[in-house]
Amino acid sequence: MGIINGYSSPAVKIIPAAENSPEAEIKVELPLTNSAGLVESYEIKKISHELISFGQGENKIINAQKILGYIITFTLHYNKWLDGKDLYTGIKQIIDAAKAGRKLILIPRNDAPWREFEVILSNNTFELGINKGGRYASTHRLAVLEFKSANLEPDLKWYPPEYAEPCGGTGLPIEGSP
Amino acid sequence: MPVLIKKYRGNNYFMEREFADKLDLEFIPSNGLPVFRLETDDPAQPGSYRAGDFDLMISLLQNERSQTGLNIRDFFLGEDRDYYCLVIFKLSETQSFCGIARSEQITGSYTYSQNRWHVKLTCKDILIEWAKLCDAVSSSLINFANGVQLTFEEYIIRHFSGLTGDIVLINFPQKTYLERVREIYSNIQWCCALGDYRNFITGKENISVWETFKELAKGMGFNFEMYLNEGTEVLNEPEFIFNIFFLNDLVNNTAIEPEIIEISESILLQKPKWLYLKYRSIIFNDAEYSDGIFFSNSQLFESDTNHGDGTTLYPSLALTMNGKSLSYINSSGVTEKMILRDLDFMDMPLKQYNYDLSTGRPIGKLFPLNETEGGGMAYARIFNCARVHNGEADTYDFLPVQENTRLIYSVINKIQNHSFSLKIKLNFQKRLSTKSIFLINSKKYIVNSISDLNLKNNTAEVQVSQIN
Repeated sequence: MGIINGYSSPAVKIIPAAENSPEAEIKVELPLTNSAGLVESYEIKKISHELISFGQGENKIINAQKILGYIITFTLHYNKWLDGKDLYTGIKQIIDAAKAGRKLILIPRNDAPWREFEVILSNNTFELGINKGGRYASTHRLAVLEFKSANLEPDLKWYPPEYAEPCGGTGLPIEGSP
Repeated sequence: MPVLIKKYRGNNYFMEREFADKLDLEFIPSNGLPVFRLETDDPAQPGSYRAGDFDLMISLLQNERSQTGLNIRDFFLGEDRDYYCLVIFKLSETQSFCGIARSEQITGSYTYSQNRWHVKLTCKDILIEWAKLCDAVSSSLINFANGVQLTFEEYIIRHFSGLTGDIVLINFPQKTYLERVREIYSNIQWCCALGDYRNFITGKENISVWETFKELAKGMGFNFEMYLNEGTEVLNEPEFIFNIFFLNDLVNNTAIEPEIIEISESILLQKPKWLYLKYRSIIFNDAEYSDGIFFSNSQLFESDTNHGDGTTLYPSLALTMNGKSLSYINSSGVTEKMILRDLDFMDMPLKQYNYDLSTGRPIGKLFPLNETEGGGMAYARIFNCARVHNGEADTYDFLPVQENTRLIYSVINKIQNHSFSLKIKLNFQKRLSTKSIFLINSKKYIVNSISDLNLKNNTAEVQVSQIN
């Protein structure tokens, strides 16, 4: 029993565009997502051919395929609430870095730092609102961040439960916890 | 085994083949024939012999290995790039299509985002390979001395002597050519190609064996095709049958009744009613006179310039107005019939070869001898028949040949100017080819082309023309 690939909050490493750049690598730690969670979607990239054999009027059909790898989409749901500080210092920094052409490395779960992916910011739109408008408004809403693996990933990079750090976990994000 | 691919080093399968490897494929992609096109002559242009080609895709996901252990990619696109492949596409025991793909006609596509992961071969009809060889050999190498007489069948074998090797079998119809012309004139003693007549033609060293063969085919009205000698596909060097056939035989044969899925109709270019074949021409100031025949469905006019005296010109066919007007002038010098090019008649484009009669050999009826202003002789004119007519023995009679040719081309001339495109279910029991005869609603149709072979649905698209 248990979960795989860690359970904690995500982080994004922003890598300078050039190797000899004076800029330093930055690691942006994002808050835990809302209840919709951090969802990984796997697009299985493959070649698939229908093959046919024939003769004497009898056709035999088989399917042959080769899985080449995976394009992984990571959707981070902050649609119910998101603290303004996380939004400004975290998400804005990522969006700015993506626009500036920096390389982004996503660590989906910070407690499993060995599992990381080079990604692109794949949002076509980004919505933002506030919860309970007016002077007492305290958090934002509607924000959903979407990353897609920049390369065809040859492996899912799944690790068994309790890999490296035997802390286990429920696999469920803790709603609203920092 | 649907597809057998043999790999050779050399230039031409029929001349130079060093077997290198082979690959037998149990499967091919269901869309593995994106292009399939086999054609015969255009119904509007008899004598425009065509062949065809097909593209074959082979998936790189297939696991088959060649005889030497190469996978599909390495077999085609490995280090050895100087080769050609014989591709035998075997649909059934009686039906196969064969082509040659040279290394430069083989490509690999690895664009996986478009689901492409295959090798594609463009295969040219095997007949083209045979034609290429025969087109590279001079007609002067045909051993046909003065004084030698060969029947039609003997001549064809002599024509290709030294080229067929052990892998081309020349096949003739059951009925001999002599039997055909005897059906027209029963008193024909023999009908042969004469070495002397062939040797009158000058410049043979610059005329290919293939060209003279095609000219012979046009002039004598026979057709030809090449296909696998079924059963030899398992050999490293499969054999092919070079089949000589006459269209009027096919029309009289049992026709295939296809299972039709779709049908559409179109109208072809209107053909003139008359067809003109010119076997020998003599250009004078006033006209180009010729031996030959022109005919419609109901009438014929012909001349053999049977004038052994060397001075009589008529009867003759005369072209005037720069070849636009064609007349038949009878033995009295009276014009009996005049027709106009394109409006009334089209001609079978028989090449008129230069000839030299100064060899001192008997020349029969080639009147007159001083064609200083030009003229020529069709290759088919090397044939002559011996028979007695008008009370005289004649060993240079050409009328039976041109009348037999007329019978064959009458079939083409009868083809209506309607064309039907059919999608048919493939029948693996009967060999489908261009020039197959179909029977649809009690009417006969001739196949002009085959395209879009769909292996998944066992269908083919064919274009046919109705024969009256």
